Amino acid sequence: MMKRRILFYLLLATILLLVFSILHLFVGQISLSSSDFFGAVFKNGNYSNEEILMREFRIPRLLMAIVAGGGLALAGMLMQTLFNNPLAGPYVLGINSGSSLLVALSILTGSTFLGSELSLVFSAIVGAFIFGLLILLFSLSVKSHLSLLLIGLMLGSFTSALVSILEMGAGAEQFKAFAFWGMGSLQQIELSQISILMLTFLGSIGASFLLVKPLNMLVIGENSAVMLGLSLRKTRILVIAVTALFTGLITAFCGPIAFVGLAVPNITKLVFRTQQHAWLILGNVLIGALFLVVCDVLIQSLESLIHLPLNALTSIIGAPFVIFILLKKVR
Amino acid sequence: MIGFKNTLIGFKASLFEIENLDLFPGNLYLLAGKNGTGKTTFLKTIMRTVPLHGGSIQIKGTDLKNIESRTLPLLVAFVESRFVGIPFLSLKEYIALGRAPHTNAFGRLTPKDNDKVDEVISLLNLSSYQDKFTDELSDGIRQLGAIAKALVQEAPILLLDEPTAFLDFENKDLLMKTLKEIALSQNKCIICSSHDLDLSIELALPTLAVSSEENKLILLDSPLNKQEIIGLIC
Repeated sequence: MMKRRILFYLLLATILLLVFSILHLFVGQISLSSSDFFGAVFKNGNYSNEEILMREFRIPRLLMAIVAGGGLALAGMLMQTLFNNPLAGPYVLGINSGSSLLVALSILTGSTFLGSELSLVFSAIVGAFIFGLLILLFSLSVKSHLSLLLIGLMLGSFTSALVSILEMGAGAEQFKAFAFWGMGSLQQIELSQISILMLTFLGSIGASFLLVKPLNMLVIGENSAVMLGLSLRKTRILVIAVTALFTGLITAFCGPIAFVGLAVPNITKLVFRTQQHAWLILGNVLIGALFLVVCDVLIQSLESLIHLPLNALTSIIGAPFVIFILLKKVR
Repeated sequence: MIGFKNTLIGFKASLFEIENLDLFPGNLYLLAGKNGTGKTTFLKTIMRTVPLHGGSIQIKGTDLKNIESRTLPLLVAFVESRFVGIPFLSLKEYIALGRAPHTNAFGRLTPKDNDKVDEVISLLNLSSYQDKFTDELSDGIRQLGAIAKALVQEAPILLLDEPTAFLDFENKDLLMKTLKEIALSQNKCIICSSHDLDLSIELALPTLAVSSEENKLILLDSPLNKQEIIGLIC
């Protein structure tokens, strides 16, 4: 009964993701045909202009949307289970502030040490991990769900203050580059970076599946889980590490994207009605990916009327959702 | 089964001492004492979530200090005084989490694990509630569920921290009788802290009393009346 419901929604999410992915590939301002798609994927060289557009812009952008949506949703689920807090998420807890800070350091100072693209990703992951540990440390002495959230927000403001100081000292070019990064975008990924993006993404999903047992145990609370033999320290570090991988990877390529990590895990749980994390992992990846692909289809189809930054759109949808959860669940 | 020798129980300061005491399987021991005398600390010391203040505790002949964290849940199971329930977690899934010390790294339930879960569910008459979400059940059923979770753990020692605190009289009665039966039929050593001294007299339970005058834990094999226990703990 329960399983049938979950399988139904998994199937539905998969179908919708496929439909919107196809839509996503063909909604841009220049219309492309399906033969352009097949040419772009299967031909070896000699691409037409349309095929190049498909290969270098449309497909990377779609994959980025899928990775960013699925990854942030999963990161949010990990945080919510670890902190036993429906309001947790990589954005509200300030995990991606850590990424932002280190990315700002590397873009704005134009330092050669952090300059290359790969090390940009690396520094974003390290930043997320450090801030993850910081939040973990705070969570040990804070009981209330809301206090942790406030600490996360303070961490965010503190970081943005540091970043604005860095901005003042930066050159005009670097300042512009960073400002664009900060709006959140799915277009910055390049064809050559797709392989590292997908590898890290799939690797992190695999790592999440290894955490299914401890996550399922954490549902009944840390104390009860420990008395069933859970190693709390090991679990915390691993969960934070996987969260940092997702958050850092995505923040490096797309800039900060708000609220996906908070809203999608809650939606997934409400739809699936389960606490079994093997299902929740699959559900979050699919629903998260679907959410961001739909957002991006919306952005692209409105492009001729208005330019919507991604982060603005996810906030417009996400912020009211947080208020909804606050009203319903946490009082 | 559990042996104490000059054991000091306490968190920051020592609360009471257990000079020389052995607890045996097949018994339900009632743990009595005033609030703040260290009943919970005593149970948590055996669970090792509170460090031992002094002396030693032996479990099945092994010093508690030398038991691996992985092995401890196979020897001792703990039931907290209240399980508030969790949305979208069914009672059966909750109970099955008690198999965690037995399952592999992915937490996969083998047919043997499932059989044990089903066996305990029918033992405690929980079959009609097993597919309900735990936040939609009554306190009494949830408390039975918490005990079921501890039973599927198959640990020979069971510790319960005031499991009757949030129950009505009927459920209290049922719960204590069930525990006594389980202690006998499954040959377990069960320690249950409670303020319901009437029940312990009615069921003739051996009682561990925290004497507030001497700061010692004293075993009354079969207390005759409530006054005898109250005299000790007050």
